[in-house]
Amino acid sequence: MDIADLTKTDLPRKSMSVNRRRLLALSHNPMAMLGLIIILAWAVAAIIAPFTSLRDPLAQAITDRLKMPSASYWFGTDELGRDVFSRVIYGARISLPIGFVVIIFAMIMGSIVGASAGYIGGTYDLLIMRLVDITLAFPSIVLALAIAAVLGPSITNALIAMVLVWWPEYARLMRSQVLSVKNNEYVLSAITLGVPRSRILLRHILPNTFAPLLVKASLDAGSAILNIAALSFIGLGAVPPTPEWGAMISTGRYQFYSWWLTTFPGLAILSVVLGYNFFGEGVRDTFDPRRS
Amino acid sequence: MNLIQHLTRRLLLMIPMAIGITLMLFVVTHIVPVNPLAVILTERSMDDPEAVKAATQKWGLDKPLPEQYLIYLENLFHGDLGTSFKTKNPVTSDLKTFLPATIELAIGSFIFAILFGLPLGIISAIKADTFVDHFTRIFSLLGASMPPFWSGLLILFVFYYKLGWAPGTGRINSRMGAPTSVTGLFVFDSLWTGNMPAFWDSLSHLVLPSIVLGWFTLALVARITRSSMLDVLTQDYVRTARAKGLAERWVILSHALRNALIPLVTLVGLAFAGLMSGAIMTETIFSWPGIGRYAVESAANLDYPAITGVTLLIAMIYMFVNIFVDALYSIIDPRIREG
Repeated sequence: MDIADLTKTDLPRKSMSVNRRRLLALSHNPMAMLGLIIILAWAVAAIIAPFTSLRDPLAQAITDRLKMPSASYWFGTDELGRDVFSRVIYGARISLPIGFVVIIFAMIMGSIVGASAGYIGGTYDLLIMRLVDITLAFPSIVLALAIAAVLGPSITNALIAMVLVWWPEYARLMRSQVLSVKNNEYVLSAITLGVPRSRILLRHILPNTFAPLLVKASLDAGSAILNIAALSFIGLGAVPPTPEWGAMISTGRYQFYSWWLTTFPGLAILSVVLGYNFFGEGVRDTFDPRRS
Repeated sequence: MNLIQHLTRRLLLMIPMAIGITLMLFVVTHIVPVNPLAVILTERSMDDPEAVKAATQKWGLDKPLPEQYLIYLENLFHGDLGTSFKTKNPVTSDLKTFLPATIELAIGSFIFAILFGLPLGIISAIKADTFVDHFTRIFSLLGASMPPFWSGLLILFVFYYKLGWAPGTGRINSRMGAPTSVTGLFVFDSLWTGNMPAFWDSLSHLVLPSIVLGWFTLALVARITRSSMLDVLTQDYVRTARAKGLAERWVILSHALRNALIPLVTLVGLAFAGLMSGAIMTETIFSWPGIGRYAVESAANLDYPAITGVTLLIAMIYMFVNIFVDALYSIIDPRIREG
């Protein structure tokens, strides 16, 4: 073999960045891609719903109450004669963004608090971490239940409650990340060179801490949707007549024998959460070096 | 540090944690100025100044908040969690009534999870990356992705209404009545007192909710068993066992599994949080008179003493479980104690 050939094949001229390589691996992960397709399909349905010929999810047709699924009503009708199919599709407009928003807010809040605690240290760190410990001493839905109850039933309040119980997990993770990155040589040399503290945190520490947070976020998104649906089911989230999946199951269960009222919203929740979980598992498989 | 010292330290650390937990709950339930009088009194007696005054004094609502918190703490030391606005009973006695039902359900679902999760985990580790393994993974993910309030309804519809294989909601047939109370766990009590009809009836009522609640734990058990079995199967002593010609089944059950079970102990703490969250939904669907349903009802009724009481109880149990798990872990695996 010629030496020229060797250099051509074995030594790529420019190595790919770690993140690009991970993204490439992710796009070849069948589980992650299946999850992504499910989520995107729901997202498209949610976006185009108002522009299609779907029935109004709030329109009542008393003469068509509790009709079985049929050609004209694919998922049947509910106790007020509303079209269950169009309610399920419109429901995606609430559940999909909410799961996302809960995780994003919890991640931002947790990152800021956790990163500052890890970076500043001392009494501030001590106090913050005790607050984190105390919040994590509750199973999350139990505390969320109490907070949502106090704030009063509404989808926004359910969202606030979820963020309030969820940020500490991100804070704890972020803090440990910052602590481990903080003593790396490139950070120490930046300090020696006299780079300002805020710049060190923003440019040298934070960019190297995000991978585990993103993995956690993608694994958590499904649980966030489940918990929001649960709060709505209890009556502490979306209020009727909002077409929200948890709330639909909650009112549907009183018509126990009209199985379609609960089955279809439940399948909707299941498919979205499964989509997020597939995606999250795939992300973990590609990003977590211990598992590859 | 020896085990006793370690445990003592952990138990002492619980005190500031417990105070922190009560403070957080107090802040949470008082941060929004909802008038709790509206919940205690009927609409008509809200206009009656005498009734309002009496209620305010009875519940200590006229004192400043820090003072209310101290009163609350002082009462707590005497085991007094206040009186539920809704049931008008002391919260402590409400909790005593409802806790056994939840414990019974938790035990039932844990047994279900171990019974099916463990074999599933072992099989998918032995057959790693085959069809069986992928199927198990999807089956577990399904369990973790299903809202328990929905799977509960579904399973009731199929097995109670359509097939008639299982009894409906509740802990026991209402005509039969509760068995003589020893522990409050119906299945155990009826067996203890030799009340066989009650035993079978309460056992059959326990099956469906245990499956619904246990599926989530099953997923955890299967996953942890799988990864820890995979770790163990590559160890030298397993290779040695194989090299000396032991039957594969014996290698797996005796050499590998025993060591693979250690990480499962930590799962108990994790699973407990899952069980508590799931119990809230499962108990609501199955009209199971436990603390999960009590939590939901008190939250829906803005019953502050009941919410704080039940949340406090759950957090305390959660803390104890975690300490217990830590201790158990260091007994099983001495390396952790020394570390």
